[in-house]
Amino acid sequence: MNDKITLRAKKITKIFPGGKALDNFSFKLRKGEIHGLLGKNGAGKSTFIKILNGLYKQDTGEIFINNKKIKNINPILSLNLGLKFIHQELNVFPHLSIMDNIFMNNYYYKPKGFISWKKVFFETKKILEDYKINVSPYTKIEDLDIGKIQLIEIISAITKKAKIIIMDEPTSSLGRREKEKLFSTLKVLKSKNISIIYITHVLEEVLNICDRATVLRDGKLVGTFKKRDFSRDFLVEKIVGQKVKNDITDIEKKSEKKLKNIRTSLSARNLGYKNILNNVSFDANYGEILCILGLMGAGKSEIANIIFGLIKDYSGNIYINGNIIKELSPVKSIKNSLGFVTEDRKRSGIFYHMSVMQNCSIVILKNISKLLGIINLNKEKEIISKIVKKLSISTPNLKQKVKYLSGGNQQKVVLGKWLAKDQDILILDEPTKGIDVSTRTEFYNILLSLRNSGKSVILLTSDYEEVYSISDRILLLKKGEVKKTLYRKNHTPSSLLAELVSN
Amino acid sequence: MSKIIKKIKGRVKKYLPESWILILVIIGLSLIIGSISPVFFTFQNFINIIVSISVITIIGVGMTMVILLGGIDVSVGSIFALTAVITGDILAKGGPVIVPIIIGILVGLAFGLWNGFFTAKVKIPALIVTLAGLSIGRGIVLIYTRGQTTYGFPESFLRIGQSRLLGVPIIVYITIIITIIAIFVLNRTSFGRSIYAIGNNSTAARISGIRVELITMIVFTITGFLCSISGLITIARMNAAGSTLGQGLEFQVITAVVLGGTSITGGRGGIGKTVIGAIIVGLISNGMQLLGVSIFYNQFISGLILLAAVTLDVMRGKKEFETL
Repeated sequence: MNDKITLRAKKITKIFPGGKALDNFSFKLRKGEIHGLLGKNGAGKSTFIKILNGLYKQDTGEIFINNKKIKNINPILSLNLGLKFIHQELNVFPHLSIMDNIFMNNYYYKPKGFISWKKVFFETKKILEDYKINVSPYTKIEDLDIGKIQLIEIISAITKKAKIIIMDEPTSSLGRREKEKLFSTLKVLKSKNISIIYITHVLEEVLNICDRATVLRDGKLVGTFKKRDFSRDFLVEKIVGQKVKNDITDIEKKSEKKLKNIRTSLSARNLGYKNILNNVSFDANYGEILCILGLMGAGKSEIANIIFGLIKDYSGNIYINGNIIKELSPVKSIKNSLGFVTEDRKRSGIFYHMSVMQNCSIVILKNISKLLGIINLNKEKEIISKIVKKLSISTPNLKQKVKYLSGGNQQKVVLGKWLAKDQDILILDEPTKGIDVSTRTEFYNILLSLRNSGKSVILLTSDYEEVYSISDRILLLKKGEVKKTLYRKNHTPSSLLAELVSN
Repeated sequence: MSKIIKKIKGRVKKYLPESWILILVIIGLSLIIGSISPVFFTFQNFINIIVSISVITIIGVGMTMVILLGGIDVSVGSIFALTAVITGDILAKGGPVIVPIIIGILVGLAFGLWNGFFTAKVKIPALIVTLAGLSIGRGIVLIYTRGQTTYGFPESFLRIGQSRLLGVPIIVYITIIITIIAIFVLNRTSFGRSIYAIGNNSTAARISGIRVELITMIVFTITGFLCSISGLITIARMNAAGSTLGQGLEFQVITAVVLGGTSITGGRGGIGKTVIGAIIVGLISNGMQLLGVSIFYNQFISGLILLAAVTLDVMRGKKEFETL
């Protein structure tokens, strides 16, 4: 590491309709350092990365690379400047071979312009041996496990002569040994004067490999700290912030409620799925918010998808109200009074070009239609306008198309369709991801009132503050196993974070 | 002042349908053709146009549903021809008229179900399934007819295609009734709502408890049924059933649907739009006939229209993307 600055961001501000994603954020990256970028979900990390990649444009502020001011970044320009991004989601060509993936756009050529496959093959082979990956260079990416794929992606970034590598949670799907390999690779890169921006939730990794760390909170810079100055507790404190927001203490009061007679709503016994879930058992109760807290990749969505019949090849059993339910399907789950708010509302929640009313009434069509399936429009309107009011969905009218609503309101619509059906057991997978703070609070209040009216709420999330705000009982899920049961009253947001990231 | 303008704008928006550009196109085309050909603005020509687009409209009803689902059916011309030649053959042999009609309809239903099964259950893309269907259907027609044309159907059967009520051919009534029922089904029933939901987001539809596979199969079966109805009225009108019937029909139908404004990516559109699309297609071919444009230009112009229709659809999509 030396003191030369390779990338500098100066007073970056980016405003979204929901609020300021970045607020006067400044950042300096030195040559040959591994620089941790920390902050909770929604703190502005990914907005910053997307600005560097040219996917977003900052409203104010400047970016310098090697002291040259860079205007109008786009993905190709950022690649040419030596920036390489490794995202949580893999960016590979699954049907192509390892060597194609490593050397894509960067092949070795013979004098006449043809690709020299021989050289590409042997180079790939050498790299694979170097990383102790025992497969042929011809192997297709789709035939590898996810840890190896991630390594290949990183290798591909390195061979493309990247000067700055930006990694977003690169270890989320790596095993221990692969992780160690990755870390030693990062150290080699460092010695070659390549700089790395390393985004993670796992503080051990920061303590282990980062030279410096910058913490973001609510879009603002909290500070940049040197390795010798930070400890685990120090970082947790910086990430969470000293004071917990007022709106959350409001909610807290409401959530002091004792369960009188516990009635089990849904039970999972020994759930297993591939190598993602292992022997997961739990009981959810009516009148309770059960939080399943786990990082990305811990297996939360898989649990929800099994319960709702979207994953078929699982082992173990699901019981609803004490009855075992075999051959689960969405239709069956709905009959058993389940509702499911999925993680990705765009992909699996909303009907984009349809109205608020049509979105909300989709599950109750049978209930509001008469002979030959003719919908009783008055009844539909009556039921849905109640729901819209109850959830305070802000829409000019019921006929407004859902695509014109804000993300938070779209999410309310997805929840609304299950409330219209008056389902008793609600499963929500990361329901407040990407939703602004005020809507989030509203959402929590809705969940609390549902719980108070006797519903069973199962909330799957990685947001420990969310868990702290509204949970009655917490299951800690790590790598597909339930590690512990925690109770909110024994915890603070920072102690929950500590539990979440500890080994 | 600005309030009044807003109010007027709101009124205009409310009463002018979404497809106002296309309605202007219809008016414009009519004026152009009418100013050149004196025959255009006659009752008889008006009826001719509707009769000529009846087949496109009826099959377009099914095609609209398929496209709304996010699929496509290019086998409609073959189903149409197959039901026509089978019905025609049995009719020509004599016996009660109702038997060949029922058989023809059953053939259409079965073919549609076949398409639906391979799309929904085997999960092959609809384009491939129905492309195979196009070839299979036409193949059976050729094997069955050996390229021959049957003609000379009983009088009672021909009445479906040739008789009039209050001066308007029965075919026109059939077309209008089917269209109205379909509009009602799409807009007011849970079946119709489910079609839109699947086209918008089939994953979300499945999670919401909609039986995606079942509805997909039903929609393809309905399309097969409507092809058979079209086949029947066509041979009743022409008093002949030949092996080349309905060649390129899928092309005209898809053009009408897309031109009307139903999105090729599914989830948006409706039967009303398809009717408008069909009218434009009908007007153009009627105009070319009246103006004496050689029939050889037909395909060339149809291709241009289809491209223009899809371009319009893509531009609509882009505009929406920008306003996100």
